[in-house]
Amino acid sequence: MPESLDFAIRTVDLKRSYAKVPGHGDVVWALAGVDLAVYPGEVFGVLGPNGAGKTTLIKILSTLLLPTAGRAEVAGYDVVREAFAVRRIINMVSGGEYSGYGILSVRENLWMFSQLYGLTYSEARRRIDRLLAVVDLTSEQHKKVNKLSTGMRQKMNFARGFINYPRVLFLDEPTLGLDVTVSRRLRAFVREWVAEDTTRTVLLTTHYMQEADELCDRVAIIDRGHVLVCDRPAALKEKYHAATLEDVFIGLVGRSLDSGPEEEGAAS
Amino acid sequence: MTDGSMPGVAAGRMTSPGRLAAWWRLIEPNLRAANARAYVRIVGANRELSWLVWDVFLPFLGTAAYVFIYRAINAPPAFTGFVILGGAMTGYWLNTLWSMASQFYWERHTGNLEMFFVAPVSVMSILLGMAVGGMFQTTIRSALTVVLGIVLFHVHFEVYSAAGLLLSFIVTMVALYGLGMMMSSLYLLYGREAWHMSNLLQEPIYLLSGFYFPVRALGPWLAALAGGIPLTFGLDAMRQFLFGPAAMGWLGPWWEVAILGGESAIFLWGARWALDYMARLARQEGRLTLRWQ
Amino acid sequence: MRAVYAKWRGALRSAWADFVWAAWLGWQIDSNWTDPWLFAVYSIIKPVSSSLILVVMFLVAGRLRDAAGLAYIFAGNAFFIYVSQVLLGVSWTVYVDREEYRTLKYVYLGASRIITYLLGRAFANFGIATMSVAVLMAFGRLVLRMPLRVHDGRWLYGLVVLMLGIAAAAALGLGLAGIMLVTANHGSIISESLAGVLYLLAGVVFPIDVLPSWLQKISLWVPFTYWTEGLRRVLVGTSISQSMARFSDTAILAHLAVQTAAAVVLGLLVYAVSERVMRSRGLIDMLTEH
Repeated sequence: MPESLDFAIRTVDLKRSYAKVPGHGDVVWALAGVDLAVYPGEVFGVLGPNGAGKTTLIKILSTLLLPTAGRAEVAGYDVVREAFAVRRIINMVSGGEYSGYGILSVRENLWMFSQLYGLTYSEARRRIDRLLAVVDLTSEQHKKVNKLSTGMRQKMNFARGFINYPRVLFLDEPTLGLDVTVSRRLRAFVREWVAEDTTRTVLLTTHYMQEADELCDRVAIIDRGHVLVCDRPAALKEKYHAATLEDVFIGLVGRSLDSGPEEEGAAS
Repeated sequence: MTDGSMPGVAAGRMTSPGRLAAWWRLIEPNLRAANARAYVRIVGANRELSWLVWDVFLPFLGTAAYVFIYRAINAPPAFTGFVILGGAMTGYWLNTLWSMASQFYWERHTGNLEMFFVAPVSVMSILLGMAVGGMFQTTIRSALTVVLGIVLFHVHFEVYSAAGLLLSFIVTMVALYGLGMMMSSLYLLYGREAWHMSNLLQEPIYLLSGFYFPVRALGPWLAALAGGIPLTFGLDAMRQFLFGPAAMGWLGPWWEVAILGGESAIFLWGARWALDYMARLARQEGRLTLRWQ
Repeated sequence: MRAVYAKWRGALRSAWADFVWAAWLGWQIDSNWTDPWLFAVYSIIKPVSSSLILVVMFLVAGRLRDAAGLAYIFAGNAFFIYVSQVLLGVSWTVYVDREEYRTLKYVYLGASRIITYLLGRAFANFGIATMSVAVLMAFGRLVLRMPLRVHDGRWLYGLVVLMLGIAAAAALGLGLAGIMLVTANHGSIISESLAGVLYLLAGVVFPIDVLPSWLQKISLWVPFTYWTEGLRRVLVGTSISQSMARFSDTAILAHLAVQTAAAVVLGLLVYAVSERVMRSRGLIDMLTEH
């Protein structure tokens, strides 16, 4: 059982390495000692270029990957030793991907995933109705997923992430490839969803600075597996005399977000 | 999952009804997950009815080729029955190899595998769902193979013991799908290597498990080696319950049923252990989400 | 005239380059998961096993001493590996590229000669089949003491028959690839099922005389019936099929050539129609796994 529920997410000196070439000794550090503390009720952003370690962090926190060293807890549960307990309270959405079965309809896919969390039929129906409306797929709910456009599949994937009303939700570039209107709508829902219940927490990775600015209570900027800075977006801009978070990043590392790290590992 | 026990249950602090309720809370989502995964397979199959052609009628013609071999060499009529029974059971073996064991290969590609691992259910319940859904499809294929065999080739089944036949079939299925679950653990870590292993296990197993002839013909050592595949004893026991002495059985059919019972327990336990172990390795090496291996 | 020749030469050169590239890709996909030695062992275990099934069937029926009969079905079964491998190789690429690697649409975008690409991808399977057949022939002759050799020095006849049958298999593989363009992913079952049907109809492991008469009539419309018969006459030196005895060697070759040509037309036609359906329904990147 968790000793303390003060933190929704906590990592202490979290490290993860990958072999540069499988079977050889050389490694690349995707996370090189990350310390983070995220509180219940927060929308917390992790910003960084490609290969910074954002996705690795989410994979570790969502129990899909073991850390090489250090500690990570979600709602007080250790992600290594208490993986099953963590899984009961989390969910994850990876932007640009769409899980599910092409041969089933949108509604059936959402129902299928709801059953992984033991939802009763009536509760699943209620939540699916709500989420379909949120992602504007109500009129497409009986369409087979293999007949949907890429954007629609991604919206379904977004809805899937909320199906168990997770206490901690990981959104990995959730609006990647979606148009501006849809992205705005989804961001608004994330805010609304967290406001609905202050024990809920969202950890969001993105390299859209605008998205982070609009959505996040606090952000951590990471690069090459290190947390460079962590604070409220407004505080960061003020501290670094910057107009945008992008400028903050440039001020910190001397290059733009789009340029990526000098050496990309298997981090993302 | 080893880390999936309910706090309090293990500590024995609860009263019996409370304990039962706690266990039910643990089991219910797993049953729901199995049901949902089975639904995908059954509904998916029915939406693409082309499988009836490819998976039922055409394989039957392949089976028929073996019937004609025996006819060409004037083998006793019971041998036609061996081929039809083997043809009927082939579907279950293919289902185990391709729709159970290697299914994780595809689930990883479609991004579903990580969703299963992020969910608070045992991955065995997902596999159970696949097994039940797959069995639905395969049982139709097998039943049609038997019916066509009776109608077209006038196969005559004596049925020496209906209870024995049913029991041997059930216990074969449990052991077989347990083996499939155990093999699926390999796919958590490996990609094409495991896929090729499944591919390799088709014809050699048709040979070693005696799909088209009594396994006794292989001699005791090879037959014993093949006994690790549940269909070896399963087919031999079913042949004996169906054809009696003409089946040229290897061990007594009830002994074979007992061995299959043991194999069921070993494979199911092995599957649970192997899935936990391989999942941990896959998490360590970051392979749960690795695609295009 | 010279311009036409140059144009054809350029097209052929380009098609050859596509073929070589696709063959390289197919070989990488098929074989680079392990070391070459293990791959070679893996490639021959399957066909050897399926041939041994036949041997054991002869054994349990007490007919193992019938060397000519066993050689007859053994040779047919061994060479049929070409048909099943080429059918699989040409067609299955569609599923793998569409649903596993998700590159089918890019292949369409990049290569105007999709047919050359599909044939090239199957070349690895052709290589595997050649290796398996060689091993089986050696096994049959040296271990099982079967009378398997090229009789009366008819190398050329045997080679022409062999190549015609492989061409027919590739053509039918193309037709199958077309069907796969518009159907759900059933894995290798479709090609294996078709191979199973041809295995039955062509009398690969028995003389077609044992088939019901209506099936015998259909058999005579299958190119592989003549193919296996022609190969057996070369390799076993005799035929135990009464129905096929009425065909001279030349008639066997003529029937095979005409039916191969028909298979090529049929394969291309099915592919073209299916491709049109695929494009009109937008199925090029569908995902159908369940």
